Amino acid sequence: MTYIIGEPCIGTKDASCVNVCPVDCIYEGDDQFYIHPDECIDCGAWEPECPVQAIVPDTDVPPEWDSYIEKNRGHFV
Amino acid sequence: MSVIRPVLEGAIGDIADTRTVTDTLGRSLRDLRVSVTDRCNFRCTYCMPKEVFGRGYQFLPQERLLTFEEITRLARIFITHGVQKVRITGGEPLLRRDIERLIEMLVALDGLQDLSLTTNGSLLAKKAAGLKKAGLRRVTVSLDSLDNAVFKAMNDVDFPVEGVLEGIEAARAAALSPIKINMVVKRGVNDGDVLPMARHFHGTGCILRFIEYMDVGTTNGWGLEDVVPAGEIVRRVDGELPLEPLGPNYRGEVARRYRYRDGGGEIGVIASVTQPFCGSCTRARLTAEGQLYTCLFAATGHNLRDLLREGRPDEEISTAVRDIWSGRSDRYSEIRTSQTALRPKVEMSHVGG
Repeated sequence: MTYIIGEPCIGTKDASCVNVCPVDCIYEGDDQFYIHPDECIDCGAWEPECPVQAIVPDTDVPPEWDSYIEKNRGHFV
Repeated sequence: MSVIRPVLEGAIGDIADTRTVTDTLGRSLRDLRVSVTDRCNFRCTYCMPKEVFGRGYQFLPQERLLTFEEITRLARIFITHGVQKVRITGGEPLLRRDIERLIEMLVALDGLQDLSLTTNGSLLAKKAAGLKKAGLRRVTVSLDSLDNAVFKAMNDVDFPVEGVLEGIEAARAAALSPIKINMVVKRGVNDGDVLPMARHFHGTGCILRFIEYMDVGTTNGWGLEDVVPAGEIVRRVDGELPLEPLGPNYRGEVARRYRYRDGGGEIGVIASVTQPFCGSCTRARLTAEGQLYTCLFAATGHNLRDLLREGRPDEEISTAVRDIWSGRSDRYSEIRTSQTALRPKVEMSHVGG
């Protein structure tokens, strides 16, 4: 599963997700965090932790976050 | 040596002579299984089926999990009541961030003789060396089939068997030994893998253990017809790779042990359905949120987390543990029927198998 971190992370960058990720696959960018699609093991540990519900599966990205799909992908290329 | 010790240390010293706690059936307390998370990255059909543990399922938030400090404090108290062995379970315990730190804390406890961990193996390739370095002695890896199609159907998340085999190899390279491999045998699903598994691990030093399919939790739809009796498993293996029985390593060992007559190592069968071992069960189980269960098949536990978080002293928690164990009378596997299988029971992902 690939996860997208969307708009709510910007300006928040709470890092609770980073603090529970068992495989350190959540990386810090300039203005938000990103989940490495190949390193993620789909455990969902961040689900109850993210205070702003910024993380969604890439199959379920709300239309207003469309641009974040490319932005997340671009972080790891 | 200073006579002034922290209050908590002093309290433990004072209760150290209570080691002989036994339950109403005369069973001692020797093993503590600690679940460190209710999460798993697999959805094995007999444990965390997708229909129940799907995307909307509410797992425990971090603040409801026992902290490593809380777990270590409880383990120290349990040791004063006779616990010698601690096993870390889940969910999948390697999904608990910084689990290595908990291992360091537990191995430092006086009186602990054995520390092990049960894992689905999916993260072992990454983590085995770090676990060993933290002080873990050995691991048990759950693996139900070597057939990729069967394994993927059982874990239900498309995880390939090679990933687990790499994890086992990493555990071997890290000298996390002896490595035990646990295979739950379900008739018509993976009983065809009994012999391939035996052949695969024969001569490797890994101890393969066949587990009768049990009515754990409330979601797996267990029936006696799903069980391949341990006797049948032993006969099947013995037919190709001759076996001879071994005595138990210690009283209360759940696996009946056999060794290959050709020197190819050892296997075990865990026959909790056809040959229940409640009479020698010395295990307590602690869930990730601090509920103490005295039976894998119990419906309710005893809340130790509240005692911890209400700031109760060690003596009080120790008394609670002693009282819970002294009052224990469960022997579920000895009274199991198709009717009891329908009773409400704690989910295995909470109580750690």
